[in-house]
Amino acid sequence: MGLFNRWGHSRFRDLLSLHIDGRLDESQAAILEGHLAMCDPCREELHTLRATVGLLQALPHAVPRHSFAVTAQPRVSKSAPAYLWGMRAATAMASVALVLVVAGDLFGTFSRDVAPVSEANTEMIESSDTDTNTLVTEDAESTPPSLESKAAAPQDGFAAIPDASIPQADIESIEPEETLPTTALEILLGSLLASLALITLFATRRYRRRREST
Amino acid sequence: MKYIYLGENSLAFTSDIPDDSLVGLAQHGDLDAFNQLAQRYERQIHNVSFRMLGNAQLAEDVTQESLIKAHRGIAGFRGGNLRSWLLRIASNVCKDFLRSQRSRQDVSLDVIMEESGDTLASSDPSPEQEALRGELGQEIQRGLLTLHRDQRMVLVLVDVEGMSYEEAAESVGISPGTLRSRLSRARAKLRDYLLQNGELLPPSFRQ
Repeated sequence: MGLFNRWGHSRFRDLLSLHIDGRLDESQAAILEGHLAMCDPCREELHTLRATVGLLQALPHAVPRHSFAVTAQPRVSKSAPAYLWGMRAATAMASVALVLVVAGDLFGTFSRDVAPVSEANTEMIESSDTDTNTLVTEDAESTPPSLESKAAAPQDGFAAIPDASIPQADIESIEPEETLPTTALEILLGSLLASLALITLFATRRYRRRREST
Repeated sequence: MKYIYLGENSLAFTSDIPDDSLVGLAQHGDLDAFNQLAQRYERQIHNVSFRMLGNAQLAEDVTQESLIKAHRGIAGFRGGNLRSWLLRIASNVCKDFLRSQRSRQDVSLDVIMEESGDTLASSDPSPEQEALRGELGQEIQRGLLTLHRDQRMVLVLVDVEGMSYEEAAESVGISPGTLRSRLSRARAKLRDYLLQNGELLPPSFRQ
């Protein structure tokens, strides 16, 4: 019986708030009123809850000391100022440049994957001909002076080491104009991009904070 | 659309223009239309803010900020209950303030309660109203401030402002079911506080 009562009280107490607001349907209200008729604690609870609500409803309203009319505000441009757009554009350009360089580098890497085959060929040639001159020339001739050969050139080590025995004309034909220090370029572009991105981020946040404070 | 001619280059909106029409004008940049709306609801926003924060000056700041935010965001208002929309903005501004206050801990309850009685309306000079403007009112306000801000908000909207469950739920962005249980807990908690600290409670409070 005691357990039933505890369960019953808790269940009915949840209904008291709704009962005060007339939010119970007829059957719920009838059940609650039946319980209240024989339960002093719940009746007391309903009474004090109702008195609490009555006090809240009777609280005087606070009166503002002035009106809150919104005055015409200087139109704040929603878009960021020009310098921010400039920094964003610079960051984007650095990103594109980095992507291009990395892509070019990767493309070169793929071509280097093919290189061992040509190296094998040249070794065969080398075995029959001891003249490194011929080797280099063959190597240079075997691959067209394309971007791949330019990127691969520093790796094969022949073009990088000047050899007095190699005629000047041959060296020129081997050493493409590029020997692009791609890694250095990537590092440079990466650093530039990181710096630009950080500066742009901080500048944007500072600008937003300033705009919010105004 | 009804206007009153007030003089050269001066038109005022009559008070019987429905909210929807004013909202439409305000959404097209008519500041006067927006201010007409603001005037309709500013007292209510201020009172809710006052009961949420317990301080007249803070309530005015929150009201002003809420209306500025409403003005900025009126273009995004997609119709419906304008009062709920405005009170939702005010509710969020109050919450932001309470969060920052909690992190700073630099506004004590005593400071908050200071001189709050001066801002309360005294049009009805009945003894009960006088009591509620005085120490009893402050005790109730203290009790409100002991509640969690979410419970306090539903209690203020429903019991102080007399909003329906549905409108109050829309104002705080919760379901009516959540509002019912939150309101029930808030009322019980405030009642317990008043019973513990309510030496000044009127006789009607006890059977």
